[in-house]
Amino acid sequence: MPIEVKLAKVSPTMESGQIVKWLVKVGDKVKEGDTIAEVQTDKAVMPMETFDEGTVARIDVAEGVDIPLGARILVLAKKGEDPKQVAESVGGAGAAPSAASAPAASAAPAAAVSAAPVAVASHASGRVKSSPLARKIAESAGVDIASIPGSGPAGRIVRADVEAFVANGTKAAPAAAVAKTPAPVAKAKVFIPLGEDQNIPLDRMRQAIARGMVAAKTQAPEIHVTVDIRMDEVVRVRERLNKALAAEGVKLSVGDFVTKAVAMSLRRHPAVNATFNGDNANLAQAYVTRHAAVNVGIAVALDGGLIVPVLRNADMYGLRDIRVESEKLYEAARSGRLTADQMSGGTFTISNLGMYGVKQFDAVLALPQVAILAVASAEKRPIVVGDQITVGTMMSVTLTADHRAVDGASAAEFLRSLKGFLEEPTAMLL
Amino acid sequence: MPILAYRDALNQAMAEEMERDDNVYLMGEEVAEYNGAYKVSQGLWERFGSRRVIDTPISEEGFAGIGIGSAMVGLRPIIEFMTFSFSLVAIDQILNNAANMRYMSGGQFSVPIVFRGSSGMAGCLAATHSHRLEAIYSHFPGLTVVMPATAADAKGLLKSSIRSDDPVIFIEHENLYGEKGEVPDGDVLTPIGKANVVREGSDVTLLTYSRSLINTLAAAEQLAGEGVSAEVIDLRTLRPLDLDTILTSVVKTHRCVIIEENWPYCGIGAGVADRIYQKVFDELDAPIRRVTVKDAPIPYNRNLEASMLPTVDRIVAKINDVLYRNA
Amino acid sequence: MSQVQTAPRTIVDRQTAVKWLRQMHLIRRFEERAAFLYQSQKIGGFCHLYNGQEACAVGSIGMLREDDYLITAYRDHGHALARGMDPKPAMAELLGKSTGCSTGKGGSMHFFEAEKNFLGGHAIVGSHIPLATGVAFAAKYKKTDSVCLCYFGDGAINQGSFHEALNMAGMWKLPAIYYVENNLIAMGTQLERSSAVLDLTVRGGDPFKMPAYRVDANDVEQVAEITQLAIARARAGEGPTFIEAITYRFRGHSMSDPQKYRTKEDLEKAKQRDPILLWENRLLQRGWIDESSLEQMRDEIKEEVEAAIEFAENSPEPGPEDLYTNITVAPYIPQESD
Ligand SMILES: Cc1ncc(C[n+]2csc(CCOP(=O)(O)OP(=O)(O)O)c2C)c(N)n1
Ligand SMILES: [Mg+2]
Repeated sequence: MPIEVKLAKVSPTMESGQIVKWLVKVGDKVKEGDTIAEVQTDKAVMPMETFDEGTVARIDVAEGVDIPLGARILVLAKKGEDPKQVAESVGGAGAAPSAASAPAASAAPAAAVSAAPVAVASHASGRVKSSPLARKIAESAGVDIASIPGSGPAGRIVRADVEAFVANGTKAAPAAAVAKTPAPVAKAKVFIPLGEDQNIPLDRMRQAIARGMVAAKTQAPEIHVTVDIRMDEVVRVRERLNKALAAEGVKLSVGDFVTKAVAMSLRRHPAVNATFNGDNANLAQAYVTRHAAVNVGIAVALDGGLIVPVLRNADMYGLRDIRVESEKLYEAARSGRLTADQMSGGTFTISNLGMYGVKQFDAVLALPQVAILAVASAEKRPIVVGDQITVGTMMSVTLTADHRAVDGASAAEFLRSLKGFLEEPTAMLL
Repeated sequence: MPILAYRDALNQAMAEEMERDDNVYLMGEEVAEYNGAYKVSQGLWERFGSRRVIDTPISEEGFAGIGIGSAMVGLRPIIEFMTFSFSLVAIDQILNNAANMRYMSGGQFSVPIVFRGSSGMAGCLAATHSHRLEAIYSHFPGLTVVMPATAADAKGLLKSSIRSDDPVIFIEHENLYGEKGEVPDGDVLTPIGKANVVREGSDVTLLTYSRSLINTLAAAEQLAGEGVSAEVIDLRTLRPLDLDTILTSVVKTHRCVIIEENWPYCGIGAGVADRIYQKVFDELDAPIRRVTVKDAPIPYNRNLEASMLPTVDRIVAKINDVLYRNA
Repeated sequence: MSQVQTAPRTIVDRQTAVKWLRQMHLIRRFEERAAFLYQSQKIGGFCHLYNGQEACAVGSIGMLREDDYLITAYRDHGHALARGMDPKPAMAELLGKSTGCSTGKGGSMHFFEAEKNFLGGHAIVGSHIPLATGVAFAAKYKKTDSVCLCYFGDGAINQGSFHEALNMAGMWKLPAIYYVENNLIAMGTQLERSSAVLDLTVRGGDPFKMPAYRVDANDVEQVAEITQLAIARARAGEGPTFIEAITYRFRGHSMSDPQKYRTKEDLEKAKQRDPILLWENRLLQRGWIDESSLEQMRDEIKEEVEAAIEFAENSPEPGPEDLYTNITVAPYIPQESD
């Protein structure tokens, strides 16, 4: 019996993926643990390994085609089996796959490589359930059916859901965190468009972002609490420490101080280092988990979106290690090589737009986490000290909290600690 | 328009057709001197005499075959089964001979015959006497299967059936015989193979036929009070099915419930639902639901029997299902 | 080749004779009360009463052994009671109760009592005649000397199943007794309008190589005598017998029969030969009963039937779950969509 290799779950939340690149071809021998392909998931490009030994008899899917989890992507002939015969018995010539040649494999849902992948998006828990009509409407509206909450039995997405979603589309748009470019300034001149409007389909990452943002905005009532923090001490300490670290080639950023201070504040305020688990429809069964570990996710902007690698046990690191470990994570993120482990398990998230010169912004929750911190630029502002107006380096941070779990006072207390640590960084040594 | 009972509308159809065409005759148990077990043939024997209204012994297989034979050589028999439950005794003649004759003879012999009679769960008749066999008959190529729900259609469809050149299974319902309705006078024919949109609506399509039309309309009316607009279609002919009318409606409403007094498995609704799925799957916002008789033999006990039938409540529940109103 | 029995001979003892009288009275009373309950809408569907035909069942079933079988059509209350069915489950069945002889599922037309080898009432005309033949086949196959007594009406003879079954029974010499209760009418069709030959022994005998007898079935003793003969033949392995029992039903075909096919006078005339009256008179003549014991018997029967009604009325209806019981021996799996 030949071995059917199926699209593996290489990211905790992926529902489907694309083979970005095949690393094997028909006729290649592979053994357990060999990387056979690079898979684009909702988060990143991941290597996919095989768990079997054999000769590649057939490649089922072309690069760049969207396929659901569990779909057969490749067939291995076992020792003693003729790869050619295997290829024939499992369906057609094995070589030169193309998007058009849909495999007739029994295990692979037919739609897997068809032109209409919309219908087969699946949740971690299984298929996305939707009525045929809902799918049709969603398709023609260019909406990913999977991003729409379903109101029918067992969460089936029905026409009404799609229509409501399409009608409220702008309201439910992803949060400011990803709004990198300011709106273009209107010009008085006659505007001649260059080229044509472009419809850009959502790629996996965009879809994942959209899904997450919609969930947060529809499920969690948010509160926002902002404080201004004087950063002059951080600036001074950073300068000194960086001199000391120059020999090692390590350079601390203001953000590293923020990460450290956040981690330490979370240690003191476990209510904010928490996740909300449960369903609004059944709050009797819901609960909040206060996490033992402080795992801080740090949002990283990428070309097509953003990704949140997680610095585990951030409260245990010194500033230097925070710098080193974060750098590793950023690097992996930018090259699309984050592992599933590096993307999961966060208990709190920091979104930092400091490098863009923003004064203040709100971030959208990364459910099930109950809080996220939006960090703006540190800038010189006139401030009042005593009764005197003077100039200080100020930074505004805004905590967005899930009010189901966190009240305004708790949020404020957390921010007071954070403010304390950053205004007097040596306190972090205590 | 005159108001007639379903029974009398059938009677009028037979009388008019017998008047029109001497080749038309009526044969069956108790159809002549007794005036019919359910009085559908009342007065016909008196009017047309023993040559054309003929009592038979209890020999269903025999007289079904006699009817088929006579039809092969030009007569147009109406064969009455006291109830369609007894047609089971004659089923070889109907399925092997009537349905196949034209095909087997390469088109040389056709069988212009009507098998008609009552059917259904008419109240405490128990398992042997309550059959609804439309699914069986509709299964067979060569047969036309007609089931009128109203007095007007009883007349119009029976006249069309008698004039049909193919064998027609014309299934009446015992409980409809007394139902009154407007019936056009004279030679008005209801076309075979044409469904009837009895009530227009936009939210859900209700497909039904025969007695279930009554409860289906009641369910539609009840839901109208809750703001649901149901379209009710009386299929009237089960084979050939009027798919056009059905699909036009389903494409409009995107939801469909099929109501029948028939067992669920391999029943009419199952077959109709499949034809809808094949054609307009993408138009459906919910799975098609069916309200059928419960899947058990028909009991004598009155309450148990009643519990099997498609009641207004059961129909409403299924409609709410496809409208997602049950949450 | 019909043989007609005429002169009654004493063939049973006093005890059996009185028992038969009692059974006939019980059947009559049971049917009268059933008619009342039907009109009170406690009984539904088709209900065919046995009034006038009591001697047919009582005289023949009276000759059977416990290990013999019987089977009949839908006019089955009399046969059940003659075979000794308790009137309580019989009445309960008519009322559709779970204590009924078919647990309320069968109704008037479908009485059954396996314990007494009563294989049921059957409502499709003619369809049980092959079953009877199968039961006889099994009796022979198992090398027992049981016989199967099969009742049907004059109308049923016109079904193909009758001819097919009797041919095989005759050919294979099966221990069956085919017993047509010729009440001269099938629903509204008199015999002369349903049968090419009026002597049914012609139709049931020679063609199938079996002896055929005609008997006046208003005389329970004659019925018994012919049945005895048929049973003896069957037990001896000589094959089936056809019996034409001439009888008359006093009531309509079912409860909804306007009876336009006969006059009041016809009926009154027939009632003068009421089998119960005839038997009563004969027993009085023989001094086997007297007026007072008769009186007492009638009172007892009344009480027994009232008790049966009370039992039936107080019995529970089948519950909704019973819809799915006893459909298959294996656990039943409804093929439902909801
Ligand atoms: C196959 C079939 N056809 C018709 C009927 C309707 N039916 C019930 S009883 C009956 C008359 C039967 O007459 P007969 O056999 O003489 O019995 P009786 O009623 O006189 O006891 C008829 C036509 C039926 N039950 N089954
Ligand atoms: Mg009779």
